[in-house]
Amino acid sequence: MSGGKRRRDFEEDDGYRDFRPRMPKRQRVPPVVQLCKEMMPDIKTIGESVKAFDDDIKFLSEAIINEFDNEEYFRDALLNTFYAVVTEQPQKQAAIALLTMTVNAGNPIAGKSILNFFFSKLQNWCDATIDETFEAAANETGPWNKIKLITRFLSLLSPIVLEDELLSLYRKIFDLCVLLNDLGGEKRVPLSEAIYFNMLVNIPYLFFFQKQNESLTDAVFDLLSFVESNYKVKSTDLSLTKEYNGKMPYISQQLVQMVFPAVKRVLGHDMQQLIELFPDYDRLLVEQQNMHAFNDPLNLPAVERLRLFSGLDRGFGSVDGMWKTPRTSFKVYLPSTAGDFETVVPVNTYAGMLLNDIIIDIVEGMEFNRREVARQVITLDLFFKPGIFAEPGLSIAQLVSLYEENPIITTYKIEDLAIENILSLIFKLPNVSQSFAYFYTLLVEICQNSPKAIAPVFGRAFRFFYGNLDNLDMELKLRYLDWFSIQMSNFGFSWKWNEWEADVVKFGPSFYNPRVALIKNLIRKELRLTSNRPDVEDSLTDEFKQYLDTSYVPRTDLLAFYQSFFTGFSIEEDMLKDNDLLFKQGVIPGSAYVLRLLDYFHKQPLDRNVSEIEAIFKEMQDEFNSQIPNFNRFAVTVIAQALVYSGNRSLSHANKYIGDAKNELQEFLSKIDSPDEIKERWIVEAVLRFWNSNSQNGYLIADTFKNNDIISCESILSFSLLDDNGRNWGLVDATAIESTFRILSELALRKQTSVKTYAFVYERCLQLLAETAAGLGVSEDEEIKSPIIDDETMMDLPSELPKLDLIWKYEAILGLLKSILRKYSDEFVLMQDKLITECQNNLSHHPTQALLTKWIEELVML
Amino acid sequence: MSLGEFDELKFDHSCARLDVPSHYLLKKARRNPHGLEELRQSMKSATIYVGNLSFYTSEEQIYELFSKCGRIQRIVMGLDRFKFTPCGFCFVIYSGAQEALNAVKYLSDTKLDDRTITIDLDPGFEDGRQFGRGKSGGQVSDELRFEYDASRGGFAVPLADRIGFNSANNFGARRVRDVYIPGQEHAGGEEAEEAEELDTYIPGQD
Repeated sequence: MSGGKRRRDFEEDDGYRDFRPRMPKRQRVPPVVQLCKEMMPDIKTIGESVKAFDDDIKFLSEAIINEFDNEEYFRDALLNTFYAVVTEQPQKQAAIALLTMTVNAGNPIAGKSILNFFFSKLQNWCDATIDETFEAAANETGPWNKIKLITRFLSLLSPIVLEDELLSLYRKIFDLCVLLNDLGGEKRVPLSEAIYFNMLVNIPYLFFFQKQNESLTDAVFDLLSFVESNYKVKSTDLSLTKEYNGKMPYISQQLVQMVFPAVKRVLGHDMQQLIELFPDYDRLLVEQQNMHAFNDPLNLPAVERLRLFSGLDRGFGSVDGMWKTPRTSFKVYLPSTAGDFETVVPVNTYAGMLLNDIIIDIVEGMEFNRREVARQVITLDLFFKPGIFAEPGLSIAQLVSLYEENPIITTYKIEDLAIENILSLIFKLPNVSQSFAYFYTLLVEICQNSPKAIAPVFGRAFRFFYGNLDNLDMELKLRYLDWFSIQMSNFGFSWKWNEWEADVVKFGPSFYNPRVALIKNLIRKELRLTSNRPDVEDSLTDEFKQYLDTSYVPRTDLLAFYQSFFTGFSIEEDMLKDNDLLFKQGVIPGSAYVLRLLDYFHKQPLDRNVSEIEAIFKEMQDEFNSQIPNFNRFAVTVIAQALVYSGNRSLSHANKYIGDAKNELQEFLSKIDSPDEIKERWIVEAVLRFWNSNSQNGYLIADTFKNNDIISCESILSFSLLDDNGRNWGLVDATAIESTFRILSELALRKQTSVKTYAFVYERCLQLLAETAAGLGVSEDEEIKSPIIDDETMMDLPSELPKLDLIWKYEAILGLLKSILRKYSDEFVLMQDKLITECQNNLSHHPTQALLTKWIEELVML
Repeated sequence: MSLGEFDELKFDHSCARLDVPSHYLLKKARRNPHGLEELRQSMKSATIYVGNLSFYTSEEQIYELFSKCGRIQRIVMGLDRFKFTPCGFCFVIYSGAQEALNAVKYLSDTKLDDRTITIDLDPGFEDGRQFGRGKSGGQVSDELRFEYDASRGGFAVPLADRIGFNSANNFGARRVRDVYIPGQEHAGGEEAEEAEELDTYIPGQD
């Protein structure tokens, strides 16, 4: 008997296995780790429950007082958690400060350690401002923004920090700010504006816990008068980054111009405004025995070193980067749309400015968790004095009736404020700080959390942008379109389309009308986002059903395209089928050869030889020469469409077939006796006509041809910007515009030295502008401006429409050019002089010339 | 097995990050001797796994949504290994790792084609992984699904198994697998747990 057997018997007999626990042993963590695991989440969520706040402060501070000196692990965890909350969720800073002060009263060493920790962080960030190797992660808001947040926290600690220490900190930073500002002379210095705004916004926080401190008040007013007399606020007019062309729907102001008066106002009148803004935590304040000083003086970088970084154009962080161009107020919820009252806190008040600043910091600093951001921005009111905002979720109708009853009640809606700020980030020009997907899904998340309260808020924003669409920047129209479609696709595509019916009735036949173009693009985008067409179909009212036809060019054009290959043979309408190869249909001349060509492409690449293709076309030409007059064009079109058809199951299939046939195609094309430009144009046209029902696919597959070096970037761009009987799809169709941006962005990423493709687009736009201005028949000095057409406008629309369409076309070209100049400013700035010369040589219309020259001159400021 | 930095308790943020491996991936990695390397690799790769797609969702629809996070290099549709039809998952390969992480952060649990999609990090696509690993050729998770799901092929469990031959014995049983013999007592226990975990896919394995 083997030992093994004996052992098994023994184990089976005594039932040893029955007593073995089935579950693995529970992991036991050291007590200090367990404590941190339980305590830190409470600190992170401090203040979220107003009821529990007093108890939270009491119990947390007791625990910290007792534990702080015991374990380093605990100290590190606590300090890092404090720091994370202070910099990522600045609305909770006051709560953390209160906790710190309560801890300080019971354990001054702990209080001092916390202060030292934050001061050392401040010093680190000051050093980082001139660190050329600094790399910003997506959630990095930037060294100067971190300096702002830490200084704000230190200001909150004013009851335990010596007054002089804090004020000299401010003074030092303001000194630097003034010096930087003076460096630029009359020109704007982005960094100095950022520091100026950041530090001024922080000043009222010095009074958060001690509103009656007279010596502090005097010292702060001295500081303010120093700033007022030494910092010269500069006004910069940058038209390239304006959200609207022409007249703005509201007066846009620069933050840097509004901040000082607002701060001064809020500190006046015995700080009454401040008392109404900040929550009252006086009941929780404990008497402090110890006042602290900072261990070392703050070392700020020298102005000369900072000069290199003063443009804030090095990608050091999202919020810092926003100051690269002048920051202006952005509005969506205007009083007129809601009733005769504001639903967002006015941006020219301190409260408005601060709330906007906090929301943007939360959105940017916590981009790694959009769910938490969605929760925090909507509950921001909890961290300010109750009564600033109306009850959450109140509808405008309810607000209107409440307001009528009592005009002094608050009408501010926290939802409006939060969403307006997120929209300001989506619509930020010249660049957006995070991927669009983040902002779109953040808004979806907010809406999902409380659809009833939020959906109407979105609805008002959709309507606002739609109402101002005629003037909205072209790039922003695309962002609006994306946001709208993603929002719709997450909420069952429900939208009150009937509101927009009148526009479709009025402008339906127009090609360039911005509203009709948006509606068409929107419906097409929605269709691209669903595989269940009825979802979209059912949401539309009858007037809009016509736009369910996703054809890029009308069927008559498609018919004409295919007909143009043949003489003596007529293409019938019923031969045109979506996603199918027309040339393989039995009745079409040469179809048998096309089938052979398809078989060829289905063979394994190694079993193929290009001579086979040549033979097929040779035989075809011999047989059908009389019916196919331009055989070269026919051959190129057929071979391109055969490839696209072979890969029509999906984009990857298309990629595979085109990639496999790359060399054969290049060889075949080289033997066709036509200029390269023409051949490439035929290929793009063949692809887009094949995918006429889904131009997005068409353009993506054209990109594949381009990526395989079969066609050039210019061939796609010139095709999409082609003027065909006055119709130019590259100006109105979202897929064509996206393709233009995609091609140019890809080139920009490659960082090639050649900028010829950009010059090509610019020249093409100039050409279009010149033709359109000539078509309008305006004199050289006459402004071209589309009239405002509303219900009261007396106009014979059908007869005026052709002229209006030309004006809209003119505006569309300008819009595209403005977006392209702005988006690729780094490339265009290299040929600034050439651009201006070309503009002067090719455009005789003076106002257009002046506008373009202004834009080109502004390129250096981007 | 310890998962190094993925097991560490961190206090560097005021809330959890969403661009981290899912619990499913962590659990799998713990059992795999190369789990930690694969997890590290998945943080650096430009590939993501997208699940819970409708069978009818096309590559173009995926492109429309996922291109909002970055430049897409390639989309690999998950296919039924017998029928070569989409079976409800895909890999999206971006041009850079950051873009892939962005997609995990921003797009997970959003809706595509009226379905809430799930997104997970992935160490990188290898040929063969585009096929479903279930017995019928699709995803394993579908074969364990009892409920009707129109956009994922309707009922996955045959009618007979769903209601059972002898309704007195097992009517309303939650999950009935093909190893089940009607009329016989069956102990679920550990085996049932194991079977449930065969869900969707294992990174780096077929």
